[in-house]
Amino acid sequence: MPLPFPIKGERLVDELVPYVVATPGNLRCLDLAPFGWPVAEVIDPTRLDAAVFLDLLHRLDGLTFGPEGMPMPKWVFYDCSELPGAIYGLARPASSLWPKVRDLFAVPADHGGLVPVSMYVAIPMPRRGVWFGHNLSSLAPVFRRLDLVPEFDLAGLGALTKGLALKCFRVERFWGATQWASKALYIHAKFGPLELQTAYTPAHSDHETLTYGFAVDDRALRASMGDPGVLFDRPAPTTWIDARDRDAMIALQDRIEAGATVCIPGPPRQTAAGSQEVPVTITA
Amino acid sequence: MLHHYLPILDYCEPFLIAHKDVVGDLDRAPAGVAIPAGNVFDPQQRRNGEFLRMLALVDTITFGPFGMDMPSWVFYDCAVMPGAVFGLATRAGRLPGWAREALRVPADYGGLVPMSQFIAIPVIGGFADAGPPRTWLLYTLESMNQVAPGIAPHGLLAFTAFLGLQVFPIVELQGTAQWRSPKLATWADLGPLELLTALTPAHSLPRTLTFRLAVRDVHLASVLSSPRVHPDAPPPNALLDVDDEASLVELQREIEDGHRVVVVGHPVAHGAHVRVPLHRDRLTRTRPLSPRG
Repeated sequence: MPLPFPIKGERLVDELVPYVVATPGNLRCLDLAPFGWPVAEVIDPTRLDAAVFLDLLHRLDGLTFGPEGMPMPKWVFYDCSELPGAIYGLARPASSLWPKVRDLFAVPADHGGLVPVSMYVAIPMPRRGVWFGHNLSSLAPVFRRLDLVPEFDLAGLGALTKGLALKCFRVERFWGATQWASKALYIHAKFGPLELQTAYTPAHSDHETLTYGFAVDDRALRASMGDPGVLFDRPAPTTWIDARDRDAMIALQDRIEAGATVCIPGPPRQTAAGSQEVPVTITA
Repeated sequence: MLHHYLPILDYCEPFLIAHKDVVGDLDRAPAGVAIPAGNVFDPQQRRNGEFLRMLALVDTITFGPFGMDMPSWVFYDCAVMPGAVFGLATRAGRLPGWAREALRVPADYGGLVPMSQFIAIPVIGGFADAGPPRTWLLYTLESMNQVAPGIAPHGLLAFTAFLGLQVFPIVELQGTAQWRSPKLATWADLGPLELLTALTPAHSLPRTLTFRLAVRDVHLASVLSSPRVHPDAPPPNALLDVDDEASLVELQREIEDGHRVVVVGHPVAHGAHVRVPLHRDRLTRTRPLSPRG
């Protein structure tokens, strides 16, 4: 087993290999063996021979975010991911790719490299070690929805990818944005209680976006990947915010702007009415 | 040279959009032009939503025709959170009716309306051992004059670049541009642009170049003066036909093989032909100077 602690989805590390997309100038800043698991392939986005793999990454993004209306244009991949930061993910060699997945990606017949099944994208902020994450793509929901490979469960792939990526990028403090209704909050909450900087965000396409963050250390990363030996003190929720309750988000935003300290202490829950509720703790 | 541009400040005011954790690393008086405290916006404050909406519209108007307008989530996640936005804006009351309509300025709005913006974000490879990053990616430079000449004072784009380069602690600048973009001339005014790519399949528009430039005082001055021959550039030894894809592939392979290629001047257009002057190290023949006999 390549990771020195137990994780959810042990089989993932047997079946998949890690890759990194980074320019030569950025590559030297990365940990190319996060938790001892060496990156199998480095893709330099400034080279012509990267084109096929980068097209496959773009396809992965479309499969993940297309239905939610937030797929990344290729220029965003280049200008907002590959040039300033890096992409880390897990892939399967084309030679052993499942036939249905090969069709889904429309993998060129002569492509003998890797085919990505997950990726995490983050870019640095102006303080060393502080990063902003902006894309977590995992084929796991697509696998389930289309019943692509019934004998192989990709559960845990998203969290595993994000945890390894933050280690690879040497992140010390993380910030990200997500929607109150996003199922990705289950993954983000695995890193521990999430500090909230915004609860309602007019600067974002979807105003019902929250900005969250956490300190990154090995404990948080191991927990995110499913190590049962890491537990957090999670404060009790003060309230629960329904992901459809815009007024509650605005009221919470007003409290944050007035100086309140707010966190999401744990994962969301689903209601009988089919909505998502997110726990919120207001500590000051 | 700066005083030739100062009339812009009769019509426009500088503004800055920066997260509270970022604003301290930025120069709020670039070249002595102070950014008023009231023109510094926190992107996470709800009351700044209207200004941010208009800024997004400026981007849509200027980049939309190229299919490269910036979705607001990209603006938030990839621009204003990791970096910051500097620009020049004018008061809504000074805009003619047609301009207010084009920018969908609310009838009761009397605040700033953005006319230009300069966005830069850090590059991870540019962090030194301590302090802010030395390498920044020039993410966006745009002016409303690009689509509505006359809506703002002439020279706004160059002046925004001149000030923006000083707002951020940029030592090395990286950026992208399309070979046929008129903005390539503005970048060339900055100084010799070392190419990291000449053809970029990773980009939506493959005929995109990626450049880097070590920013020095001579570059800040030259972006305003637009010298015919940049004092910091080697002489050209090749002209690139930017519409000849085979030439771009050849140049890209040359770069991938480790040869240095530099854009050293403005694109030159004759009819339908556009050529960009380059200095290609591969073509350089060192000729020792012989003493006069």
